Formats: sequence, structure tokens, C-alpha cells
Amino acid sequence: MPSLPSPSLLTLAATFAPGVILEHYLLLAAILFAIGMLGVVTRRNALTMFMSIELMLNAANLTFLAFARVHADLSGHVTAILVMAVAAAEAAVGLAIVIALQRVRGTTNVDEVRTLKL
Amino acid sequence: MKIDWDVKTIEDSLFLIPLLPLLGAAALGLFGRRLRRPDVHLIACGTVATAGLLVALILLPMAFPVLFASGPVVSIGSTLGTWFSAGGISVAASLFVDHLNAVLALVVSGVGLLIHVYSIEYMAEEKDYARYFAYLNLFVGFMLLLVLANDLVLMFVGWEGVGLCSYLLIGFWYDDDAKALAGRKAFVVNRVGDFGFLLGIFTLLALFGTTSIQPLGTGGDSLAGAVRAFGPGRLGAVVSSGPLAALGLTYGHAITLACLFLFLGAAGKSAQFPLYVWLPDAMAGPTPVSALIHAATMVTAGVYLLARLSFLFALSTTAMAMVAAVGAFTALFAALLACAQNDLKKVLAYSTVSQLGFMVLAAGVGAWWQAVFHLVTHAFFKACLFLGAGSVILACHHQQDIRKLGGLRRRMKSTSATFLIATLAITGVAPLSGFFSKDAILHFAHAAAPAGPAGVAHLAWIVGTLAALGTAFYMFRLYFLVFEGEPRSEQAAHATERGLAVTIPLWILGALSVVAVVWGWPWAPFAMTTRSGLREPLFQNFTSPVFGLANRILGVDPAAAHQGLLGAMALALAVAWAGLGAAWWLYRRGGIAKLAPLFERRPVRWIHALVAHKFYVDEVFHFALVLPLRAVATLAFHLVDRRAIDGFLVHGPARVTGWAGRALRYLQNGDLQRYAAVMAIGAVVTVAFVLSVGKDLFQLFGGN
Amino acid sequence: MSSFLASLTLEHWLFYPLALLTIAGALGVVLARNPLYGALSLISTFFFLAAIFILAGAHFVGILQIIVYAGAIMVLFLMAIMLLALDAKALGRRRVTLFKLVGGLFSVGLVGLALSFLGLRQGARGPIMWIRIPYQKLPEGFGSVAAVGDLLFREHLLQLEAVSLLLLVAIVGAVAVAKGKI
Repeated sequence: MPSLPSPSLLTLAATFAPGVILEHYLLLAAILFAIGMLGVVTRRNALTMFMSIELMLNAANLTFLAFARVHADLSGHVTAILVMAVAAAEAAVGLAIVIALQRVRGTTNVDEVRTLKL
Repeated sequence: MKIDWDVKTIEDSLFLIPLLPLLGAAALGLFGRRLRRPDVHLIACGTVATAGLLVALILLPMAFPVLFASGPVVSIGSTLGTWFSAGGISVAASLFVDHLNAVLALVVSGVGLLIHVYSIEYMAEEKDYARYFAYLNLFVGFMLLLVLANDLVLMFVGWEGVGLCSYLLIGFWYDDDAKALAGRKAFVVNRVGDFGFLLGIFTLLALFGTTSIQPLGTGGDSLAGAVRAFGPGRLGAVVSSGPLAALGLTYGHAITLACLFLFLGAAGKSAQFPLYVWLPDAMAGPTPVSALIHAATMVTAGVYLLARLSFLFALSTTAMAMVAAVGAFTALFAALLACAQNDLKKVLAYSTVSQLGFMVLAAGVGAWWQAVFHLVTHAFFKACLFLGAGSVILACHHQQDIRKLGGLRRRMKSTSATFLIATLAITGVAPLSGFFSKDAILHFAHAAAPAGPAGVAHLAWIVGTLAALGTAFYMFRLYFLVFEGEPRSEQAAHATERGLAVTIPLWILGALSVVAVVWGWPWAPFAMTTRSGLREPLFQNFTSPVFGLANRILGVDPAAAHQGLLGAMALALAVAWAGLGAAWWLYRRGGIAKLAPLFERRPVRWIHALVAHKFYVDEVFHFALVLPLRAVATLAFHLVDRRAIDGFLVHGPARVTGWAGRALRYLQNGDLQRYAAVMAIGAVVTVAFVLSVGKDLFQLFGGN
Repeated sequence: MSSFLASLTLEHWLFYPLALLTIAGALGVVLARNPLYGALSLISTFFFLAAIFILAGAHFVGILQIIVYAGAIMVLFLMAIMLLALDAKALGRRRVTLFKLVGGLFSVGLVGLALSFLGLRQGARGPIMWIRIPYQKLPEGFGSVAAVGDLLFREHLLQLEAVSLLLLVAIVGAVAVAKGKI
């Protein structure tokens, strides 16, 4: 491999990749993941937290797909599909819990539910 | 016509010999409670009998090579494979049979079978008979393993196994504290000896790199092979390789060390001074057990070890002298103690210790075949004596005090007759077996002892002769007190003989004590005449292949061994009759009453008290060993167990966990988002860590 | 400059706008006060992401993203929101705690980490490691339903069945949790 002193990484990357370079996919995934994490940490509404988690899962999917493309290997796609199924299951149970929470405690704000039991 | 049968055909089934009784033990131990009594007897006796039959099949071509087309068989062996190997050490699971252990295996299984049969009657009223027979079978199996093993480590398995069975059977009636304690004492005292045995094995391993005794089949390393390859000048050479090299010992010193360790093991098992203390207490077990384990077989394992490794002991004059000295001292010491005992079985127990002393003495002066021969004859007559004692005990409802017995001759004909035969045999009255075994030992010690400083052998001879005198005295004292005179208690007056299961083994053993003469009598029919015109007893001739190496190392002069044979026989007879006469006068003619005033006098009274209290050896042990150990144990209990283990190791973690829980409780406040935040922080820190050193790690593990 | 422009492909032209829209949608999810707006924002995010998936060659997964995520899952969310009927009082006021602040800062820091790692911020240690992975030429039909389905049913059947079982359990579990007394 030659050393890489090029002034513009973008042009350099073009010589390696026929399209958008892998780093930019990964960077997008990282940003999405960070936003999701920010939501989980800062938002107190259970529903918003769940949606943030969905964001994080999608970020993970994006990395799988990006690598799948680089390696021309479909295993990443399979994993992404499985992740979607797991996310669906998680959403179903999670939303059921939120509804149960609302019914029993009258709130969907997680900081008002801190006795570690319903 | 010759029998066209090769003993090697059963080589592969050699392992069946110890396995069969062990399987019987397993069956009885696991399912014994559900089996009917006759089935238990059948399994117990059947497995032992089959094992004995296999041994006999091997022994036949060895004993009568003339009859077989295959010619003389020296030894057969079989290796099941490697038991374990660690580093440079490899222990093979191999058994072998030669002239020495074939005889012993036959004695073990034969006497074992007789005692199994005898036990059927003796334990007839015992509820837990299946457990009893399971232990007994287990014992026979382990004993056969001990005898047949061709590897010291494998032999050690049998060695520990018989020790375990001894412990289990002494404490068979475990709800009696005294009996359970006796079992424990036997076990603990034996541990001292076993430790010596282990150290001996380790020393040999360090020295020769093998624990195999004889080379089998393809050869390989073995102790006998190593000793055979030993040049004469080698003993003085310094050990330069192996783990012992750092000590700067010569080969001679190292072998002496190993022999002394092994002898410590033998002394523990064979109840030699000062480790004999467990054997008299072991009489707490059922009497057939005393006959089998504590008279005929297990206690002779030490003597067997000495005979088995005769070639090794022959290399060390010091060890031989030590063995001879300890044996002689034990023989006399125990004979003295036996004179002052009043418990029927205790007298026999000390007698056993004394006779074992004779065997060890023999091994110490190089009288190998005499030692083994005495072992065999002793197995016969001492088993007979013990079974006779058991018969008396059964008949007299567990009255064991000989002062309260008497006059049993008229009431128990078989028992008294066989007891008399065995007594005559052990005393050494010609022409019974003891005369040719025990007195052959003394004669050899006197005439031809080449080993060690000559003084030791001669001293051993003098001490041994005194012990023989004691033997004659205490045995006839026992006989006269128990069987002659008038009954001195209710139980003795109403004693009756038991059934055939008791008397048949008694008669067989009695007959064997007589017949065994043929093997030790130089002028017996079939006895060999050597090329130099000397008469060689059958047993000597039979075992000569086994002890050839040891005798060659010692340089025994066969001619010298025959000098003064008639004189020695005369002396032996005189000693036997003197002891008999003294006992007769004291206990039959009322001599004891005439001597009563003498016993009032001070020094005599003191001496009698000293002997009657067994020289206070048990008390010395108690104060010198047991009490300090108990003190240390108490200290350890309070300091180590209570404080360190309970206080620190057990309660410590509990307390720390409690504190930690109280402290960390504030983190666990149930706020989901706080957990999420902590997780996020942790994740980010982890990612940062991996990214900062990840590349180095990546390269470290072979990435580019 | 013209050579630079010439080197840009259609993927470049589509990717960066879509990436920006995705990020905006994601921020909308996190910042919207009402979960309903957050959910709508999330649906748009999923649509943009699906487009990006397709750009990356994952045609089948991109379609699934729209059908399953933007369709099924988000409908589930909207149903839940509708059932809960959250008003401003139920949502309560924003609270700022130390942990939220620190956790949020660390989350943002993650982006910085990613930037530094991906070599966009050239430091002394800037490990331009991934760029050395040469792009494999994509085979015909890469990411199509046929190709992914073939792999899924041929080599990953066990995982597929396990996930289907998981979905079944989740359905039963959701019913049990939502209906039963806890």
C-alpha cells in the first residue's frame, strides 16, 4: 500500500471505491447511533426511548449493509433481516409493557417508575 | 505322559484373579441387602474359590514342571496397559506371577476361602452379613492385587485397599465406640507405615526412574533389571542424574534410604516395633477377620514386600541389619508381652506380632525362602489358632478371658485337637511345620548369615532363640489354661462344639500345618539334592528362581547354610520342650501357686507389672504423640478453623458483601435513565479505549 | 475541481442529501416533545434510510425496511400512542439531571470518536485502516430477493426458524403483558 499523504481524502477514496466510501456510511451510522443514544439517555417518555432504540438498531443495520457491500458478502443482509425481526419482537413486547405501565401506574415517564417493580 | 497345556494361555485372564473377588464385593455391597443369605454366601465363597482355582492352575505347572509338556515356567505376566503416565513417569497396570507370589496368592485365596466358609457359621446371627462378606471379598481382591502387582504403585493400591478393609472390618461393629476407635487406631498407625512406603517408592522412582518390579515380555525398565545391570563398583558412585543428584548421595546411600523407607512401610503393615500397637487392638473385629487379615494374610504383606524386593535390600547392608534387628527385637518383645496377656485373642495377637518378627528377622539376615516359608506355615497354623479361638468364643458366649475358661478339651473335641496341633506347630515341636520354618530361620541366622555386620545376625539368633522359648511358653500356657483343667466359669462349663462349617476349616488348616512339613524338610520325599550333594528342601528349591538375584548379591554359601543343621534342630527341640515344660509345670501342676510368694517380691512384681502393662508403650505413645497432636489439633481448631477459616474466609466475604451492598444501594435507585446513562458512558469509554489501543492490539494478534 | 466533480457518481449525489435528511429526521425523533411527532419523524427517517440501503446495494433489505419498519412497527407505535392518548400534562416538563447531561455529552462524544477513528480528522495516530479494504466487485443480482432468500433459506435456516419462534413468543408475550394483570 502506498502512503497516503493526499490533501483530499475524498478524491483519494474515489480511487479505492467506485462510490461513496465506507467511512461515510460508518460515520452516518455512528451519528444515528449517537442520536439514538442521546434520546435514550435524555428523554423520559418511554415511547420516545423505544423509538430511539429503534434508531440505534437501524444504525447497526446500516453498518452491516455497508460492510456487506464492501465485501460483496450477503451475510450482512441476512443479519440485518434478523435484526429487523428482533426489533419487531422487541417493539411488540415493549409497547405492551408501556401500555401495562400506563394502566397500572398511570404514566409513561420512566423516571416516575423507579421501584424496580410494576 | 505329559499334560499338553501351556500356562501362558491364562496370561490374559490374569487380571481376573483380583477382579473376581472385587466384583463379588461390588455385587454384595450394592445388592447385598436384597439377596437371600445363601446367595450372599454363594457369591462371596464362589468368587474367592474361582480366583483360587485360577491361581492353582498357574501354580501347577510351576510346582510340577515334570508333568507338563511346556517345561518349567518361571513367571508369567500381563500388562493391561498404561495406568497413568506423567512426565517421565509411567505406571503400567501389569500383573505377574512367579514362584513367590503364586504361593502367596494361593494362600490368600485358599485361607480366604476357608475363612469365608467358617464365617458362614460364625456370622450366622449377624444381621449385616452382606456388608461383612462384601468387606471380606473386597479384602481378598485387594490382597490378591497387592500380591500380584508388578508395579510398586499398583501394589500400593492393594496395600491401601487392604488397610482400608482392615479398618472397615475392625470397626465392623461400629456402634461400639471402643471397636470403632480400634479401627481408627489401626488406620492411623498404618498411615505412618504407608507414608514410609510412599517415600520409598518416590526414592526408587527418583533413582531408577521406574517402579516396575520385574521386566515383562518386551522388557522395559524395571527395578530387577536395573539391579541386575548394577556393576559391583556402582554402589560407591555418586548419583549424578535424576532428582537425587542435588543431594550428593552415592548409589549405596540412596538405596539404603529407599530400603529403610520401604521397611518403615513393611513395619507398619507387619506390625513391627514400634508400629505394632495397632494389631492387638485390631482384635476388636470379628474373629474370622482376625484370622484372615490380622494373622494369615494382610499383616504378612510387609514380609512379602521385603521378599519381593530382596534384590534391593541385598544391596544395602545397613538396611538388612536394621531389618534383622527390628525383627529380632519385635519377636522377643511381643513374645514377652504375650506371656502376660489374659485375653484369648490378645495372646494370639502378640503371638502374631512375634512370629512376624521372626519373618522380618529372616528377611534381614538373608533367609528369604525361610521367611516366606514361615509366612506360609504361619498362615496355616495361626489361622487355625484364631479360628479355634473363634470357635471357643462362640461356644462360651464371647467369654475371652483365659482365666475364666478351662476344661474345654472334653467338650470341644475338634477345636481342642486342631488347636493342639497348631500350637505344637507354632511352638516348633518336630515334626510339625513350625519346626522347619521358624527354626530354619534361626539356624540360617546362626550358620550362614552373610548380611550386615556378623554381630547383628548372631545377636538376632540369640534373641530369636529366646523368643522361640517365649513362644513355646505362652502358647502352651494358652492351651493349658483354655483346654485343660476344670472349667472356671459357667460359659466354659456349658460350651458345645459348632457345626461343620466351623470344624471343617479347622481340620483342613490343622492338616495343612502338618503337611507343610514336606516343603521344608530337607530329607522329605521329592526334596532335591543339589550338585554339591546338599539336600535342598522343596520350598527352597521351588523359590530359588525368585531369590537367585538376591542370593548372588549377598554371596550366600549354600554349604555353610547346612553346617550344624542337626545341632540347630536339637537346640530348637530343646527350646520348644523347655517352654512346653515350663508352661506345663506352671499351669498344669500348680506351679503358679507355688511361685506366688515370688511375685510378691518387689523387683519381680515390678517386672510383672511392667510386662502386664505392655511396657507402657501405648501410654508412651499417648503422652508423646497423641496428646501433643491433640493439643495442636485443638489449637488449630480454635485458631485456624474458628478464626481464620470461619471468621475470615467464611464470614469475611459475607460481611464484605453486606457492606458493599449497603454502600452500593444508592446507585441502584431504580431510575432507568440513570442506568442507561451509565451504560452509554461505559460504552463510549470502551469504544474510546479500543480505538486508542485497538490498532496496537490488532497488530499484536497478527493483523496488518 | 472539475476532475473532482467528474469523479462523483450518482451514489455520491444521492447519498449525502439523504444522509443529511436522515440525520434531521433522527434529531426530530429525539427532540420532538410529543411522541406522535417523534414517530412521524421516525417514519421519514426510515424512508430515507431505506433509500440509503438501496444505494448500498441492499435492495431487498431496503424494501423490507419500508414494509416492516416504516409500515408494521411504526404502525404499532402509532397505535400505542393513540391508545395512551398523551397530553402535555401526562408528558410533564423536561428535567435536566447530572446523569442526563453527562450521558448526553458522552453520546455526542461518540461522534467525535467516530470522526477521529475514520481518519477524517487526521491526527498523529489517524489510522486509515478501513480504507485499505478494497471494494469487491458486486456480483449480478447482489442484494436481490432471490440472492438473499437463497442464502437465508439455505444457510441460515436455523437462525430464521429461531427468529420466527422468537416472534411467536413475542406475540404471545405482548398479549399476555398487555391484557393480563401484572
